[in-house]
Amino acid sequence: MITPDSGKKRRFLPIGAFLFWMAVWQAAAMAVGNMYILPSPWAVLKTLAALSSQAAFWISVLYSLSRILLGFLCGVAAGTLLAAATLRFRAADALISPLLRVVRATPVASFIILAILWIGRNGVPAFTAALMVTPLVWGNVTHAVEKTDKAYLEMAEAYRFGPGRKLRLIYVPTALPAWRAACLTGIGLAWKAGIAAEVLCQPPDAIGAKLYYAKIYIETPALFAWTAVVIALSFTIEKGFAAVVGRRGGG
Amino acid sequence: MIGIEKLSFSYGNKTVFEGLSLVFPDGICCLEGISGFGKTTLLRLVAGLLQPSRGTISGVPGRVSFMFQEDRLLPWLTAGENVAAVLPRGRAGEAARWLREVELEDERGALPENLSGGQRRRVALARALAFGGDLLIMDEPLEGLDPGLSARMAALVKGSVRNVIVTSHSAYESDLWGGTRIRLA
Repeated sequence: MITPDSGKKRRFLPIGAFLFWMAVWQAAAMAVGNMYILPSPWAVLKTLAALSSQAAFWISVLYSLSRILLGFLCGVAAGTLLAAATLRFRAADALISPLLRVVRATPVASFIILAILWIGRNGVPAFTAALMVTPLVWGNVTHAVEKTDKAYLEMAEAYRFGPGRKLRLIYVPTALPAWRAACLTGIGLAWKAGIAAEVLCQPPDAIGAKLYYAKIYIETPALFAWTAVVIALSFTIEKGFAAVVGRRGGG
Repeated sequence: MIGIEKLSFSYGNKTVFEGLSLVFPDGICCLEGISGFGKTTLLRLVAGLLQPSRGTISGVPGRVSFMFQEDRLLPWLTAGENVAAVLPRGRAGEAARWLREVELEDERGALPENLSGGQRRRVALARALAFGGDLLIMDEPLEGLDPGLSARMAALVKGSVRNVIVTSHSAYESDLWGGTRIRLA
């Protein structure tokens, strides 16, 4: 039976789970007894507070966020345009589809290393983020449009819909839920791949570079603190984006 | 008058018509017959949505409005938007008038999922009437409507369009439509 009490309990459950894992972490840190291997939650929190009091911290956050978001947006635009092209033109489909399937199957590290050689380290995070998102959006949109309900298309034929009206009233609403889903998955992918790219190519002032240097100088609390920042930003971006693109459900 | 001459049509290996010939005179034509005899297929052939494998269909006017057996309303559009979808850009405002005619003025902003089966049927009817044309083809348009509404909708159609081909599977519906009865058997 659902009662107001059980609703309250459900709200407190995540907090309880969080406190439980913090306790596990604290116990493990005390058992290890070496902050260079496993720092305690308190040590990480102190480091995070110290880091966030510096302007350089916020510059790094802004720098990584802006570049990865730029890559994400480019990936969404490219994926959408390529989906439109492959659905509209047979030749484009023959050319682009195999390429995007290869991109989708290639390990991200290979692209990051190649991108460092091709475009220099400053552009790599955005490039990697775009590369993660493009095939995802393309695949979701083309699949959705190919599965368009034939009954609607016949209705459009009976009522003589022109190409523009068919696109606006049938294809776009059909593809929209799949496009939204791709964007929601893609934002998380882009963020993680972008940070991985930053770790590998270390552009100045980027979060990934800070992670890399924390590892090099065995500043394990800082490594944990920056990882916490990455996780917190990942949650924030995903939730924020879901609120923006998921505002209207259905088609 | 629409003439059908030696019409043949199959779905794969399943023959639906073989050498069918008949005439739909001007005015209201009520196509009767039990389920599975190809009434829907014949309507789609007349509307040009299917192509016959042999035979000819002549006298079909240039603009034909078609009301499908299923409502085929776009689920992401409101009732008003579904009707407006078949209207030219400058005449979208007429959707309200057609919804008023089918007694659904208050449901203009409702999505199809929030309408009853009978209401969806009437939105589909409003859409078919809004599209206009010289011939209205309707596949079981009164399905799900109570007798009173059925009578009013049939009267609306008869007052709005001159040439109508409509399927019916009951004597009551055929009586409502009147006109020429054609039995497919």
